[in-house]
Amino acid sequence: MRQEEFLERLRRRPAGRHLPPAESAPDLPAPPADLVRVFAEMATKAGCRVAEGSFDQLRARLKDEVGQAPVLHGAEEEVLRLSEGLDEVDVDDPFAAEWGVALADGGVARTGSMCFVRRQVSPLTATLVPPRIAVLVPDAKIVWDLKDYLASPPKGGSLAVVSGPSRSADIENDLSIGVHGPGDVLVLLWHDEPQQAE
Amino acid sequence: MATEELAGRVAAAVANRGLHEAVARSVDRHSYAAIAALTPDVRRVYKARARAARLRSVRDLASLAEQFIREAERRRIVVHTAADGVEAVGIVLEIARQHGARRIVKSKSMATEEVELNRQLATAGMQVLETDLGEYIVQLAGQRPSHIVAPCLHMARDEIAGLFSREAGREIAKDTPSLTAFARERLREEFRQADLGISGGNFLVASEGAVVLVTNEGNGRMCTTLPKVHVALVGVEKLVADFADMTDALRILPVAATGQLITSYVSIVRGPAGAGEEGPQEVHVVLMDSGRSEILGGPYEEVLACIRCGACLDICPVYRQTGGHAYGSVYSGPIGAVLTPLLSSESEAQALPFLSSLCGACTDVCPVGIHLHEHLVALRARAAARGIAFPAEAGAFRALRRLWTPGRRYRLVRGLMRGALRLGGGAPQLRAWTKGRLLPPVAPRHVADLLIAEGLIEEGR
Repeated sequence: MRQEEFLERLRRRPAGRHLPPAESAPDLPAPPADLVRVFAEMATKAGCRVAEGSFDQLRARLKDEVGQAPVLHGAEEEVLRLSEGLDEVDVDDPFAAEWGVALADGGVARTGSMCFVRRQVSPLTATLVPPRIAVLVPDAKIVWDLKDYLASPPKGGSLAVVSGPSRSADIENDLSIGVHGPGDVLVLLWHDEPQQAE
Repeated sequence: MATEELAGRVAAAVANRGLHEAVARSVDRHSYAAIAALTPDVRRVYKARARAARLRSVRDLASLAEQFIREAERRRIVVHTAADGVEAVGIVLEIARQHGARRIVKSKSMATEEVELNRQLATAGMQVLETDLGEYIVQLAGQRPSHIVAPCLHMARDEIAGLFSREAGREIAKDTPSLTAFARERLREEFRQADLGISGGNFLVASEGAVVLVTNEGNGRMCTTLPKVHVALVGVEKLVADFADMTDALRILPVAATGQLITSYVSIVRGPAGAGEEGPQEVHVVLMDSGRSEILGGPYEEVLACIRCGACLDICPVYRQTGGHAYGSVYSGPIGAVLTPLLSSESEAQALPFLSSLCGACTDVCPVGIHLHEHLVALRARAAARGIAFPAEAGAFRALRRLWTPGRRYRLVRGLMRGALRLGGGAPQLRAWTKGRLLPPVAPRHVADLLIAEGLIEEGR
C-alpha cells in the first residue's frame, strides 16, 4: 500500500472520539541530590561491578582485570588512553574479543544505565559482543532520568542504553546471566579530578 | 463449531496440573516483582504519565505516522507501509530476496507472530532463527509463544533439555547454565553469519524517526547491529510523539512486565551506519495497519494504547488456569481476549472475551489504565448479538431471563430455591461445588414479601 493511502486510512478515522479528554500528567518525583552516588548504587543493583576513582586508578584497575585478554575498544581519546598496553583486536572481528572497553556518552542514575551512541569512533559492538565489558562513566555525564539524557537528542547514529549484564529467565524463571550480551559489566566511575591551579 | 473447539482446549488446559504449576511459577514472580518495584505514589505518577503519553499517540496517530515517515526517511531508513499481514510479509520477503538472504536472525516480535512471518520465510526457502531464548525454545518445539514476554513459561526444563539435545545431536544437561550455554554458542554462530536481521519494535518515535527495542538478553541488539540489513516490522499503534513520551511509557513497561526498573538493553535504531561506522548498511521499517485503523476512533480505540507488557496475563485467574495456548490466538490473556476479536473476524476469536472472570484485576494492573474488563463485557455483548456464544451458556441465560422476570413464574422459582437451600445441597450436579461451602440460612420470609407487605414495592404479575 502506498504511503499516502496508508496515511489517508488513518486520517479518515475519528481518532480520540472514545477517549477521555487529554489531561496534563502529574510531575515526576524530584531527583535526589547526589546523582553520582545513586548511579553507583543502581548500577550495582542492576548487576554491574562498580569501581570508582581517578583516571589513573581506573586504568590500573582495568589492566589488572583484563591482563593479556584480547580487547575490542573504540577510538575516543579517553578510551585510547585507558586501553594503552592492552592487547587489542580488530574492530571488524568483534567475536575475537574477550573484553570490550567503551566510554559512556551518558549515565542514568535512576536505573544505573549507561548510554552509547554509534559514531565512527564508538562502535556499539564493543559493549555488545565481548563476554566482559568495562565502561568509563565520567561523573559529569550522569543525569537523573533517561528523559533528561534524551532531552537534547545526542548527535550520531543509533543508541544503546545498557543496564547491567545480559539476562534471561526464560527457563523455568531461573535467572541466567550472559545469554547473548556480556555477562560481566564493570563500571569505571570516573570522578572529576580537581583542576590544578596554574 | 469453533466455540466447542475453544471449550475443548480450555478443558484440556484446566485438567493439566503441570501446566498450572509452570504458569504460576512465572506469573507469580512477575506480579510480586512488579508490586515491589515502586512505591504506590511513584507508581501512580508513572502510570498517569504513561497513560497520557499513549493516549496522545492514539489521538494523533495519523499525524505521528506522517511525521515518523518523514523523519525516518531523512535518516535514510526505508519506510514501507502495509495494509495487512499479507502485504507486510510480501514486503519482508522482497527485501530478503533482493539481498539474497538465506540465513535470517530474528528478535522477539508479536507483530511478526501475528502475520506468521517465520512460516512464510521458511516456505520461501530461507532459514529463520528466533534468537530470544524463549522464542528459540518454542520454535524448536514447533509451538507458538504462550505469553507476550515469557514465550515458553509453560515448558519444564526436562522438555527444553530434550529439544536442545535433539538439536545438538548430543546430551545437553538440564541445569540452566548448561542449557543457556548451548543456546548462546548455537546462536552466536548465527549472528556472525546472518544476512538479515528482523525485529519488531516496542515504540516508534515520530520526532526522531527511530525504532525502540526493549530486551534483556542482547539478541535484539545483535539482530539490529550485526547483519548488513535490518528490517523492523511494527504495528502502527506503536508510534509515540517524541523521546519525552517514549520515556514516559518506557518507565513503566519493564516494571509491569517483570518488575525491573529498566531492561538490560534499550536499543534506539536511528538509521543505517554512516561512513566508516559498523552497523547495518540498510534499515527498513514496515509500518503495518492490519486492522489497527479499524479500531481507531471506535469504542475500543483505548486498546491501541497497549504496551504489550503482559501484566494482565500475569494477574488473570483464567490465564493462570489455561496458559496461553488454550486461547488459540497470538495474543492471549485479557489483552488477547480484547484485541483478537478486533483484529480477526473468525467466530472463535469473537468468543475469546468469554475467557474471563470479569474480576477486573486486568484493569487494575494495566500500566496504561486500559479498561480491559469493560471492553470484555462490551465484546461479549457484541458476540452475543452476532449469535456467537457458547450454546449451553446462551440457553442458560435465556432461561434465567424468563425465570427471573417478576411474576408468578419468578415467585414459583423463588419458592423452589428457598426449599432447595433449606435442604442444603441443591441439585445433585452442584454437590461438588456446595459440599465445601456453608450455605446461608434461609429467612422465614423473603425480603421482597416484606417490602410488598410494607407497601414499599408492588408485586409483579
